[in-house]
Amino acid sequence: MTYKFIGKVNSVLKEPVIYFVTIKDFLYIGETESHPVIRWGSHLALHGTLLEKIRRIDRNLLLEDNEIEFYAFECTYIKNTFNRLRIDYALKYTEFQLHLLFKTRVNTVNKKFGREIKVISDTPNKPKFFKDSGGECEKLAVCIFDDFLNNYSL
Amino acid sequence: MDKQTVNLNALRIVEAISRIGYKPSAAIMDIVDNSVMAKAKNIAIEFDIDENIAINRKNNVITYRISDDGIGMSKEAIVNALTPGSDNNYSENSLSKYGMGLKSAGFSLGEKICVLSKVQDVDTSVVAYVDVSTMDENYYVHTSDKYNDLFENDILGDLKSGTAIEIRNVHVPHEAAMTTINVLAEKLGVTYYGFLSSENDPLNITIKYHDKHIKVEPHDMLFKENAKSEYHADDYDYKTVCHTLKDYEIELEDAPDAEPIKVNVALFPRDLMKNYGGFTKEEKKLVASYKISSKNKGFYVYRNGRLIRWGDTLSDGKGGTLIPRDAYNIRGTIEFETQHDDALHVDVSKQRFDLPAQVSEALKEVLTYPLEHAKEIMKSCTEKYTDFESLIEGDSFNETNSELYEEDSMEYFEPSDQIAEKVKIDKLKEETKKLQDELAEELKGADEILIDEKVVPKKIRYSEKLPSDHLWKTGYDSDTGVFVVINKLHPYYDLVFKQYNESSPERQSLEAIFWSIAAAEKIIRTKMDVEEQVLLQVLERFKSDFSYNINHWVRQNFNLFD
Repeated sequence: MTYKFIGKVNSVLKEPVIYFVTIKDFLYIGETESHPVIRWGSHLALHGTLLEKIRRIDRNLLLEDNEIEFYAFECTYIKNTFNRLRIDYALKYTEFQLHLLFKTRVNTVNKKFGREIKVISDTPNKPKFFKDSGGECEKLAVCIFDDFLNNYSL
Repeated sequence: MDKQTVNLNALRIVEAISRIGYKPSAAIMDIVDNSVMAKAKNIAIEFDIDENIAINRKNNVITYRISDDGIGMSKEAIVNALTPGSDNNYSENSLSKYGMGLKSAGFSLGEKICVLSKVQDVDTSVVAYVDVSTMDENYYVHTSDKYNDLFENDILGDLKSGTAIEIRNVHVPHEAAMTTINVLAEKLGVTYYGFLSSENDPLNITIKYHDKHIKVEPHDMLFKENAKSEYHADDYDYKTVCHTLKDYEIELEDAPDAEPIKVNVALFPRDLMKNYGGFTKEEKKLVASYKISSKNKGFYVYRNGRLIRWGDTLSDGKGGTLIPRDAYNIRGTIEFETQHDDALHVDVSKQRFDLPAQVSEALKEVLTYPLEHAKEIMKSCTEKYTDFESLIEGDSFNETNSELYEEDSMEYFEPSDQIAEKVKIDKLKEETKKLQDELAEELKGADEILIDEKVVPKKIRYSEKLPSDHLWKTGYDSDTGVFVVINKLHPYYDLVFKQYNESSPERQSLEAIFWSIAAAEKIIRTKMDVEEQVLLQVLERFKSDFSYNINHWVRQNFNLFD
């Protein structure tokens, strides 16, 4: 009997999470306040945002034997710092900063992946009225960026 | 295919070089570049100015002189530097451009380029010159080992090494010395910011004219030293710079092994806050010192530490710009080095570059927040400003018109007697001196340095102590040119001038009329060949009747603005 274990996702139902999805040379960055599999499921449902984006780039990406990989990071700092009404802003801001990092540190990213990576998610709009005191969310984005690149991207 | 040797006409080539379109300030900075590359630590830029021509009048420069204490040049190197198309070996971080530096800069300023140079451990100086007037189809470089063959004094004095470049027979027409000096004072501190502010062995640049010495201070256009590191609408103070993006690194896809380029962004208050009534004098001065304007917005791009682009709004690669036209209060810096030249498509002039799509797209997103905050600041400043209004009368006109000078409409049609004119000008200066003494407190600082190093001549002044009932009084001095003192006790001031905000276009238009009357008075007094006593009587009577009649009009129209 052949089988393989393909992963495990630990999260409570409501959790601020930043996630990455990769398929071949493409990277999708997103955020959710719920268990990430809920969002991932909707991404890959018929007409889901991720599925549509991949289709638009190259239909064959889905037909070929390309693995779709999911990575999730619980944003503990956000969970412990912001009240429920502000968590959404903080997450969007962190996601925004991550998009900037992937677009401005292109060489670091490409070297770590060993190939040219293209971000296919749209940079989110800046959340209005959000104040990143001391640039903490920006620092959080850098930590996640470094962790993802150093430990999970290969 | 036949190959023919073609003789080039040296004179024509030099004339073509001299018409490249350099402004004097740009040409001088090109020569300063050479000094910087020659490892100079002290550079002097001197203007010999015709004392009979006001400092803000055209065609008043006799000689430009740039001297330094750099490594100096041998005779061979000088000849090379003075020869068009000569071979040059540029160092790795060279600021040099076409290899035409000294020639194009020098010939755009004047007809004769003189060089005096000394290298270490060699006792004697070397001099050389090229002179358009001695050229024919051949190009001649004249050299000598005796400095007094070309210079009256050994300008380099006790220096162990150094170079002095003197541009003689300055082209006519050329811009007023004051204009060039103002531009240099404003731009040098920004252009060589890194060199001037270096902690170890900083560069010193001094501008000298008449008996004045202006030391060029390093000027950070982002005012980072006293800036806040964040912008928050709820605690914004309408005067402090917010340095919101600090050394943000962007890697260039086309230069995978190069260091990232660095981007800084700072947000400024709206310019009108320099006149905000709720601020102290110091706070207003602080905001004024930022010089927030359309020309100063955008990115300051530094290559190898030397500014190559001033206030660039940066193309977004799609026909638009990354900094919108009305975002006056946002500035940034981009710093890169020779290693980035290819990826940024730096052109041969080392003054232009193109952001690759990857960088402009990244920068567009990096600027999302700063641009939004800049817009918020503009709006909140406007709202705050409407609480108060308190300006210094005349200063808006003075700032806007610092390069305005009196022009004689008959200059080309009437013969001029320069000796007689000088006598009359001196007399007018004497009268002005008396007037200034009488109004000492009110009129002090004829050449007040209003904003940083920029000399802003006070062409419009207001007084409550004018020693007559006239609506205005004309003055003249070499630093300001013509100025006019408006009598605040005259009823016309109360009825009309006071109706308009000090910086409004209406007020400035009124001030323009009175400055022009003063300019006309000065020209008539100093240029017309008429018996002086009669002329003075006529002018005095004119002013008296003008002031009397306009007063009469005020009485008839006292409720005009009700």
